[in-house]
Amino acid sequence: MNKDDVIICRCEEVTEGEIRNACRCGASSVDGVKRVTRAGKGLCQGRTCRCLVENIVAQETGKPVGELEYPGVRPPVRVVKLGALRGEGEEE
Amino acid sequence: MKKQAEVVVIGAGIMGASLAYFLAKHGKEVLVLEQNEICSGTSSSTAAWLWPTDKTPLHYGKLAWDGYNRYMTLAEELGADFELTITGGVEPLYTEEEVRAAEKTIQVAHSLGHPDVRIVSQKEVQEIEPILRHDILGAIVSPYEGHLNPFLLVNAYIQAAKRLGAEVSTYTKVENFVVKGNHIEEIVTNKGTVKPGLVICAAGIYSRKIGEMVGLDAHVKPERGFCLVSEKMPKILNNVIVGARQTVSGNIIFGFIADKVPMDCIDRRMYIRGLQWAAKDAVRDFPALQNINIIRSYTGIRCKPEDKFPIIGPTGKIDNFWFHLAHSAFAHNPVLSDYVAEMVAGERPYDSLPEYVYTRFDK
Repeated sequence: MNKDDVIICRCEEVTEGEIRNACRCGASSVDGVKRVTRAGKGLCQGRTCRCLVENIVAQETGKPVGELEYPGVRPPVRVVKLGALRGEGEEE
Repeated sequence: MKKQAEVVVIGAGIMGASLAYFLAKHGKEVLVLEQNEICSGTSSSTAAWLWPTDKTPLHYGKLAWDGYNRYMTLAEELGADFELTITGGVEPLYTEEEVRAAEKTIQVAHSLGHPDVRIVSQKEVQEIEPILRHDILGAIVSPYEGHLNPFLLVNAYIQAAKRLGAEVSTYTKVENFVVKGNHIEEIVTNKGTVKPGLVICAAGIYSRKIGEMVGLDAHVKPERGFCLVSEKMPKILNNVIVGARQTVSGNIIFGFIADKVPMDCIDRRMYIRGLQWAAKDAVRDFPALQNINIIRSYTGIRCKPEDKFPIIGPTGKIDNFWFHLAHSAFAHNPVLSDYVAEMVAGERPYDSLPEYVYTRFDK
């Protein structure tokens, strides 16, 4: 199996090759890769693949992981039902 | 980053990226300065509807419909797919007042040759989009509306511009300008200085700050919105509805909120209030979807020109500084940016778009 074909983001089925290609097109952070490839946009929101993506971005940009822009984390942290997000017993 | 460029575009959102492409296509040497990454500001947090129907009056409608028509060949022109999907659109109407306003809105579509944009009864809406709440008076229904993937489109423009010789410098923040008389000699950035021929500020809401550096009012104000993203679902929504769309990947994006914020607001964090607001709206409009799983949320800040129309072209006071700003830029960018590139290339007079030139605010 070609290394480029290895799936890095399992939720969205994004391969290492696609992530490297995104970096070569100008992405230089985990969020930049996410925007164009969907890596990290799935059900687990990058909890599985973030470290792997970080390492690939670090290799491609030649920067240590610690110098990459920290990826944005947004609520909900876990999957929540739409109705539950409304808050408690409030009706307008 | 190069030390000088014929045209320097500030911002790599939809306005800056499309302009960079059309400028490069017109043979201009272009440098794009982006403070963050490509498509990372307002263009990254849009709901990305393609919605020509609500653009009024006639001149603005014409711009949107011309942009719409241009979209049909744009993927081929840019050599990249950006998930352009025409679904049709539904804008629910709740009050008699909204119905009367809608009658005026659809007149513009009719006079531009789209008589199939209609106002229909609640009963007909129910057939077209059964999942939508039933307690409405009716809706504007249009077969033309659709949606696209904003990240792929902005990147398609950027890659096409690069192939034509443009340079794009990310994480490059404009810090100041060296101005002599009424002319910008140098742009000072965190990555060094650039000598520009022409400077075009396409930085959306951040243009307020950049304009201030040269004593110019960008005439745009921020307006915040909150969106929720569902997990991937089989096809549920037939149309783009004011309030929700389903992406090609299957996620449903809910949200059509206009939150008033201070003029200098660039805060795109998500708040509990924003989550609850968006969820309440979504459950109200789509009660059958209240058990759908939400996996993510985002906050976006719209760039709203004072009179809602695009702001383009020379500023007058600084002889090599133009603005390139708009709300709803995903609707009309393929023609608006092309027109401005023609102006830069000397192929189109500035006064050909009198409603949109920056100098209208001088009057």
